[in-house]
Amino acid sequence: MTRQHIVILGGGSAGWMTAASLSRFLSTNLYRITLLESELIGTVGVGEATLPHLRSFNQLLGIDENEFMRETGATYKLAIQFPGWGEKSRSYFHPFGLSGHDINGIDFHHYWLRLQQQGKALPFDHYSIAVEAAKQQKFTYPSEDPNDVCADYGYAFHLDANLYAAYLRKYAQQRGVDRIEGKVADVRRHEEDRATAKTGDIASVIMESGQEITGDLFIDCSGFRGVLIEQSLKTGYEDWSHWLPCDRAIAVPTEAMLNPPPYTRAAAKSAGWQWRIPLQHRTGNGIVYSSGYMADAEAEEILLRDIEEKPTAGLNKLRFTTGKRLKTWQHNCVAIGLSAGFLEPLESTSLYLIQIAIQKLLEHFPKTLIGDVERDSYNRQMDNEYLRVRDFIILHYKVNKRQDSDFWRYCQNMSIPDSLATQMELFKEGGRLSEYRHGLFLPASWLAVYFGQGFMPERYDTRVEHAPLAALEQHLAAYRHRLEQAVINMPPHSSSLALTKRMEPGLYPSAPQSLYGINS
Amino acid sequence: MKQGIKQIAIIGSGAALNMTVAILAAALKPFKVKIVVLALPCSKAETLVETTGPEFSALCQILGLDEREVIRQCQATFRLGTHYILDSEDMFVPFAHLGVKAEQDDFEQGLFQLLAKQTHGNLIRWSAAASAAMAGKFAIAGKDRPDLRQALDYGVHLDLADYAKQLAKVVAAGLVEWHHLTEKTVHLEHDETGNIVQASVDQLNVNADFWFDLRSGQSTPQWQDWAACLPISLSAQWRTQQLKSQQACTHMHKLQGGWLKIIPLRNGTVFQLFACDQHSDLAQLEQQTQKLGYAIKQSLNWVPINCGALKKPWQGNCLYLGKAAIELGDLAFSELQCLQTALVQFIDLFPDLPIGEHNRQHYNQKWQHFTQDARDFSAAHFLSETAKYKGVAASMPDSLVTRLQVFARLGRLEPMHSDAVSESQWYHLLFGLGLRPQLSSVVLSTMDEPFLAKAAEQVAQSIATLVAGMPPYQLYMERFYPLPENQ
Repeated sequence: MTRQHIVILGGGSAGWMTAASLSRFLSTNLYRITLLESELIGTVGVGEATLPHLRSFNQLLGIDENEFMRETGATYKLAIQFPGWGEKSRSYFHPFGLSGHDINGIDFHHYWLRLQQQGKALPFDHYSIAVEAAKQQKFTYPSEDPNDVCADYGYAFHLDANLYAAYLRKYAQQRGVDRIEGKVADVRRHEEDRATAKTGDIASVIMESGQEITGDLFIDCSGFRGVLIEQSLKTGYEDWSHWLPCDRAIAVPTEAMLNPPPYTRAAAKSAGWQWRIPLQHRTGNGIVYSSGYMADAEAEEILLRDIEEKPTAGLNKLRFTTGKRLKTWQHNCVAIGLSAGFLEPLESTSLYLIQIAIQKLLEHFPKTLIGDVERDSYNRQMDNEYLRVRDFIILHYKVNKRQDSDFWRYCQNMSIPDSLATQMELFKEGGRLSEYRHGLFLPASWLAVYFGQGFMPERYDTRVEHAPLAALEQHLAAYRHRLEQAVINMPPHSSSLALTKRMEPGLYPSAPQSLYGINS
Repeated sequence: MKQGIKQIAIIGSGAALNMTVAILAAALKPFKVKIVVLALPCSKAETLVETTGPEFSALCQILGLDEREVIRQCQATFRLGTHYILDSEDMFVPFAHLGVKAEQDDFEQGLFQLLAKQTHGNLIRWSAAASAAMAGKFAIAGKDRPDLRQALDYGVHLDLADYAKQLAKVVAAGLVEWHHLTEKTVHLEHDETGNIVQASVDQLNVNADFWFDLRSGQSTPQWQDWAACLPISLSAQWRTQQLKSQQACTHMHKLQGGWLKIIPLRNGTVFQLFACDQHSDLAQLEQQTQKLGYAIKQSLNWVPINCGALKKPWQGNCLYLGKAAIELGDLAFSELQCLQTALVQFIDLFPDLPIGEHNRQHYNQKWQHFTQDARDFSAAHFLSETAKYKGVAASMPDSLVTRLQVFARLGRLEPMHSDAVSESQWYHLLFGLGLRPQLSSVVLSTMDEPFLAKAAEQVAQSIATLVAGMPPYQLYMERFYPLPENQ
């Protein structure tokens, strides 16, 4: 069998995560991998907040978690804080964990709703151990005993995406990935006039140096430009900006926080939101906004006004159109990362979407000639992943009640995709949630946003009225007390971070494929 | 103004009615919902036996029944899956995953790669459940070994008459009012919104907030006919005192134009014969059965079957259940299995009054996902019939066609829409039916064939060692599930 050549265009997180994964699993006897990147082209990577799934990605690559944390300046992450969403004065957390447990087979949130209507319940996120630990700046590994309240959460990381890419580059190059420095000048395709199975496929890329690089499978990690998937293959793009009107971002790093909290902050602003991602060696900050409702200068001013530490570099300005490539696998080209689509990082999904694309690519990997079956199946599954994330992010804007700006009023009144409308109507009617079998964000996440932003159902399950109110109140109070006691016994986040500097490899729990820990 | 449901009514007959009343009585007992049962006279031959999957344990929990006691009292036997006896070779479709524990990624694809050149061949050696069943071994692992519990996941066969007695205990403890009717026709009165307000039968008038209707719904325009892709047209059953099964499984013989299902109980065996075509030669099917050594002593009562399902079984304030909602021919799914799934989904979404439209739509959508998966799995049993029953191939549902294409190309499964069928069941069935994936897993490309073969052999050896250490099935039954003294 001829050795297949896989060409990855673009470094950055997407390119090097792909290169590392393929080098881990593909035989060097059968496959050659080349990554093309130019140091003259910057990457978008700033501070990155992630989801717990990244742990399983690292473990699949055989990467030691503690070494990874040291190399990428990572901190732990238990939740995302959302100040100013829903109402300007509100704040809530979306935790990587569950809130409460069902009683008599009825979901916890129905009981909570009953007490809440009586004014006898704390905010919903107060029944999450991940939130309690995040607020108290504590961190310890989740328990592996499903009966322990400390098993009700998962964790992720805040990391420096540039350092992560560099770390993976070393990993991939040690496993035989070739790197070619330079920019692509041209892309050649197999001739259209010769009807073969490869007709229209990418044949080679021509570097500015004149070097021609032929390949069998091309992976486009070239970012927003989509050099292969769009500029060459004209795949087309589905624009979602009418549902997600933010189209610009400005990022700025600042000095490290003295005591970095184990959560990301995404604070709503008058026409967008501002992130804060605490790393060990610096803090990532940025503002995402809609240029239709906020001028660039105003966004810059708000960003610099609201950062808490001193900037350590200049501003990095980005423009984007939210949406997705019509097909992320077209001919012999697979787009991964920003070339596949862009969804604002409100829920830290960027690296997840790269990770899941790589996982699906490995599952559908073509041996020689690419068939429609694997291409179509991959595209179906990736479409589903993007749509799930899209709907959940739109939800944050749609359910807001802010009246202080045209932007938020627009979001309240905008049309939404049918798939999201169905979800919201179901919840509004009786507090029920549709549980996805595939894709991100299960009911625990939807409840965090609904209740966090004050989007309440018209009624709860009336069966919960059979529980005596006083007993119910006592039950929730006792549960809350258990959480508080458990968190008191956790070490501070900063101590847990310090421990990673000297911890032996492998002394951490295995990664469940879930946002919410082993009990989800 | 929200209002809880105070009274429900159930119309139906037979085992499906017993199960419905028992599940609702158990689930609604804490909420003081009154249940009125309109038990109609049975109109046709009742199934003699119930065949469950691994959901049986969860069902016992819902019903508040002691699983071990139910097994003892119902002449029950265990089933680790189904043993298929095909023209070419045997195959086994277990509930549990391949390997001793959930092996590393792409274990299944590695096996497919190794076995790719074998047109015949099966996966039995790499399934703890299949190996144990075929070797006549059985055990339920302790709670401290969840990995082994998973690897040996089981269902049961139950004598339905005895099972009804167990269900009656649950019903007796609930808030249930029974009316045993002599009339078969129930008159339903609807309000202007289409909701049922009253049922009249035998000079009895019943009112309820919500209704469950188990009477056949196949004549309604909502009924989707699956006869083209699921061509089971007739079935017959009989029982013998013979045989004492040495294996913890159901057996299925592929016949010319049909299937023979053999279901062991502790005090005998139930046989179910399925004809796959309106014009099947029934006498020939019976002859084939007898040639296999199974005597048919009486004249068989062939019951017509029209496979299909209601697209929206929850309409207004009424949920259609049992054969009124789905008919899969009892080949791979029993009526009670489907009914149980429907009720668990319903209880999750238990409505208040007035009933929300979105709640109802959500239920119906989930139901469609279940029926699609269950139909596709059942229809896959007829893949080898496509040459004979030409209509089947042409009318194969798109979802099944895609599933077959993806498996045939990649050795992988399209994402499932429901829990109706486990991944393992699909892998075993598709591979057993002779589909061989074209592409091998790239994740395994760093391993050469001797390495893969050695790794696979090690897994097979661990399974063989595990099975060798398990007790013989009959011994296990006698020791841990002794029959009640009066039997």
